Amino acid sequence: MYPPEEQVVISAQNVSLSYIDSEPIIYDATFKVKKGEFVFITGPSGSGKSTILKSLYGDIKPRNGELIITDTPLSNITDNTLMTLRQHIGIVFQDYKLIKEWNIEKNVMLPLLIAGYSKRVCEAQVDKLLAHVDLYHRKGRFPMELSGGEQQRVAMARALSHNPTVILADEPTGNLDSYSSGVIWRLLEGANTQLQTTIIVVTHDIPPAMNLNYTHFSIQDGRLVNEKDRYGTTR
Amino acid sequence: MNMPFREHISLITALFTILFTLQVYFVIDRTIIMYETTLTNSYSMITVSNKPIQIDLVKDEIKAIDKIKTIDPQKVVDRLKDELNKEDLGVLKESLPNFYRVFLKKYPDPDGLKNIKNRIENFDGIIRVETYSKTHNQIFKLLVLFKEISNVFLIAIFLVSTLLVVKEMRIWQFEHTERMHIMALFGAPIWMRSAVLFKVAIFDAIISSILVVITFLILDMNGWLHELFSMIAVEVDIFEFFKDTFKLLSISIIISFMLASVTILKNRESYGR
Repeated sequence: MYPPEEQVVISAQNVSLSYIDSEPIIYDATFKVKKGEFVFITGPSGSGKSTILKSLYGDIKPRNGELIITDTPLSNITDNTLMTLRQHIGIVFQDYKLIKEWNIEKNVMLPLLIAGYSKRVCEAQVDKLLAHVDLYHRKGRFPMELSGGEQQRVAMARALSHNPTVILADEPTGNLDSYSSGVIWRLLEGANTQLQTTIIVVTHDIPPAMNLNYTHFSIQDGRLVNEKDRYGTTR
Repeated sequence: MNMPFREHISLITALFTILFTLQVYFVIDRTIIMYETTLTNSYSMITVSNKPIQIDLVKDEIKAIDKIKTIDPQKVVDRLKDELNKEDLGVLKESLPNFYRVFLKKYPDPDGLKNIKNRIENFDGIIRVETYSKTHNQIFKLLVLFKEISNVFLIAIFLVSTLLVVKEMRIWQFEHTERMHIMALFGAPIWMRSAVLFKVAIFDAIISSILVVITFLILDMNGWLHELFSMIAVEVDIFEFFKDTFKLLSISIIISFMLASVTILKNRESYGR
């Protein structure tokens, strides 16, 4: 049992992951992620980084092993419980996954609408976040009217809007210019340091300018390896 | 709603096509029923009897008979009053048999007509029953043809509607799957993911119904179609406002709800999908 400040948010025990009727991509992964931890998972293309992330939000079911996210075991989880669990997770995708028929404001508002907040609260929170990502002036626009960097900033604002317990980011800066990449990393760092949000980022490379402690897992031949626990080494 | 209007166009177009053809079918069906009623009302057979028949008895025996009217022989006599003297006319009037016009409840088929004729002939005193069967059979065949065409049209509507709905299902899968999946990624319960679809379904159903109602009201106000119907001596309501609006709206809502339900069922999110 961890003390409260070291509460385990994600626990994986001998987890193997594969797509239907194929060989496992990830073997026997065992790890724990504590509340407020910032985790990088790195590895070459096709190594299974995104697959791990998908398993964490219930898009892929482990072939073996047990996954527990915020005290909810995923084995035999019902559809309703899965949806409730996802309401505590913020996800950022490389391809943004914004709803193209909705304007920016409504896209950012989505997690708040799902959580059942009043319109007034939703609008106030969205205005604040859009100002924070420097897109307040474009809140009436639709995703296709924005650049890639702007769309990812919108996706980031959406992931933060409901103050989730965990943020999962799949190559969040993969396609972005340096300005937008900087904004995304600053937002993730801010959520981690100020709100104690647990962050798990899947990426090719850890940005050199990270100003906080993080845990680094890499994937080598389908195995998750804890590269270096950098607690206590602030850069 | 927030969906750009072009996202609505495909369903509205499909629903409009289905509703328009259905309303055309309703008008054709109504026309055939009207035409049949007109034929029934104008058709009668002549029965000649050498003694007065008991009208109520005949009607009780042959349920297909609607009414029997006695033909006044004075009309026949009046035509001959210039050629015959008063005494001969009196003798003629006394010796004339009784004439009756027999009206039926429904326009019968040739076998039915033959059967009715035979049964009337079995009554005591009946010496002749004239059914004008040749003319009747020709008109009856025409009526059957209309009905068959109408049925073929209904089958065609059903096939076209099925094809349009199947095509629309594919479009909806493409258009709505991504949004529903993204909503599910953030934990939207099924009712919330579905609500958007049902809103679109109701909106499109209402718009397409309104468009068909407007189209048929314009056609109804235009004299051209009524002139066409008057050529076959039939007065048809091209659009019965409350009844037809209710029917069209119900059908379009049923179709679009069916579409929404199939899309939702195909996009159920569960663990490991």
